[in-house]
Amino acid sequence: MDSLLSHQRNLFLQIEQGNEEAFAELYALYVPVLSSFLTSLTHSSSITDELIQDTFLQVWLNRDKLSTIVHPKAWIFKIATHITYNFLRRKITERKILDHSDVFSLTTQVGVEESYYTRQLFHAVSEAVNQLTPQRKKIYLMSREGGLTIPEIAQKLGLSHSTVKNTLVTSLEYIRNYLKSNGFNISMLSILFLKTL
Amino acid sequence: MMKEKIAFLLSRLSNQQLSKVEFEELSDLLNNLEVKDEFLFVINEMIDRTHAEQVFDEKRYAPLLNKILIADKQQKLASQTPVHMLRRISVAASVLFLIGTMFYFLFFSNKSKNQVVNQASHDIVAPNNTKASITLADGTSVSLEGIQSGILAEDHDVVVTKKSDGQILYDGNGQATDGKLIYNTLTNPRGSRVVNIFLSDGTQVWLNAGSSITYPIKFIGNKRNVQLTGEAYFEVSKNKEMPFWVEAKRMHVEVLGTHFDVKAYEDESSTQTTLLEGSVNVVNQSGERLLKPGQQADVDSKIQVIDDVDFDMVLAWKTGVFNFKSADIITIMNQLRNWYDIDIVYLGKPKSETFSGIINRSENISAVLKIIEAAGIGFKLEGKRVTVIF
Repeated sequence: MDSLLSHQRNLFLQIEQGNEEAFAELYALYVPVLSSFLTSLTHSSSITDELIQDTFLQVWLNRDKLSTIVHPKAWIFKIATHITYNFLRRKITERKILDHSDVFSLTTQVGVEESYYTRQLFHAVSEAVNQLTPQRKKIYLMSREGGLTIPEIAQKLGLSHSTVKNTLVTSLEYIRNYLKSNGFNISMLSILFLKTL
Repeated sequence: MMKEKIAFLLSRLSNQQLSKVEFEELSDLLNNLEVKDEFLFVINEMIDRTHAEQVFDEKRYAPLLNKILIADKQQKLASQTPVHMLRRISVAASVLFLIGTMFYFLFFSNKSKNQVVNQASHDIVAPNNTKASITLADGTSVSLEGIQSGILAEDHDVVVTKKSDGQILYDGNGQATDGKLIYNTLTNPRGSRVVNIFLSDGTQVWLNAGSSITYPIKFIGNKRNVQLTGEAYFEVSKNKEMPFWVEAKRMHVEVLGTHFDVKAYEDESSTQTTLLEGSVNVVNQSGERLLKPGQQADVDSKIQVIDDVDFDMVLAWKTGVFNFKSADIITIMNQLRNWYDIDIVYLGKPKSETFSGIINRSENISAVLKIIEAAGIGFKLEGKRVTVIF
């Protein structure tokens, strides 16, 4: 097996467990190519940054699925593709562009608007976590803040591993649905789960 | 066939050579969900073919990574496993942190009293709905509080509805205005959540607490005029034939199609207009200034233009947090007054200290005051009155 592929699959397994270091490594691995692509399309470093952030936020919020992904690169590129498509739809159909030959000219000056959209997105994530039921929130925060692994949480709370794992999965599901119902839509991800290349 | 067309248009876009016709084509295709899969295929291919040109720019990207990782944390604790790739969010001297229910709050002065806000038997909770109301042309008032979705009112044949997500919508098709401008006023008192309204031309307005806006139910003539007291954020629908004007204390703002915030509270010493996108002209008796995105006009008698404004701070009210950057205590208390609907009394000589921090607006007022207390200012909370003790 290709060692890069197996290394990435390993990273995915670790990220599913909540390992931030593994996530950081994956991030560093993909940012250069995504950044090249987005910059060549939009010619804006602020738009590029925002779309990269949105892409990796989706990876993070869908980490409960990572162990089932057979082709990590294809999966990440698919997320980036959807985010790029949604962005183009949003920008072009909003018809803010006065000068059609330089579609991003206004937004290049104003990159800050993308920052505002992404800010809202992140704030919504925070709100969603806040709305988790007490038990789910507790377990979720033990994982996020306490940095505890599933077995550690299970032991501390006297629960089974699968209970803790299922709770975390449900919480991520809640966060994703919350985002969706607040207009932040990357709706393809549930299909992606089944349809890996 | 379609894929080639899409690929062609996107490459024109990349080269910044899109003609007007091609732009329209691209726009139509993006709006057409039937070709969504083709788009996704083409974009995916483009990414696949990309060679990474640069190495990982840690300085630029590590902070972004950090943001993702704290997005779903509620408390900024020191990470158990220090990661060399992650940088702490960089902190300036006056310091700032954090979204969520917990917060850290630092500032210049190193004085610190250890008073605790008396656990008042009545705390003040953050508002959880809007208490706004609309006054129709005939003077009758329609309250928006607690009404489920549906038709709120009809004025001269213009229908006003409330959507299930709380947005107010004016249907601009009414005929009975008879060529005359008929005005309604949306009033949002203190202690109320932000109310979101679509005017009949499609302009979207977010109205902050302690504010009111007067507008025609249908726009007629060669100008669109609204009047504002307090604070609102506008996304104006474009209409070159009918420029949009916002009249506020101390200034008029002329707009084309654009996004901007106007803050014009009666009891504040100046009025501000902050431009996010597009173009506005700020006019008062001393003259006029054309703003570019990212700029803010600060107006009392003269118009002063400030560059590179922090939008997160200006629009914090809309996103559900308090965001203070080197704010003095009066500024902070005014914002608290607006959100919690309190009366304020000051005792002692005001300090010149400034404060920075981000606090979730969903907190009770005692929680917010506790933080500021840690900075060396005392508070007493009695019913609806907050006494600030220097």
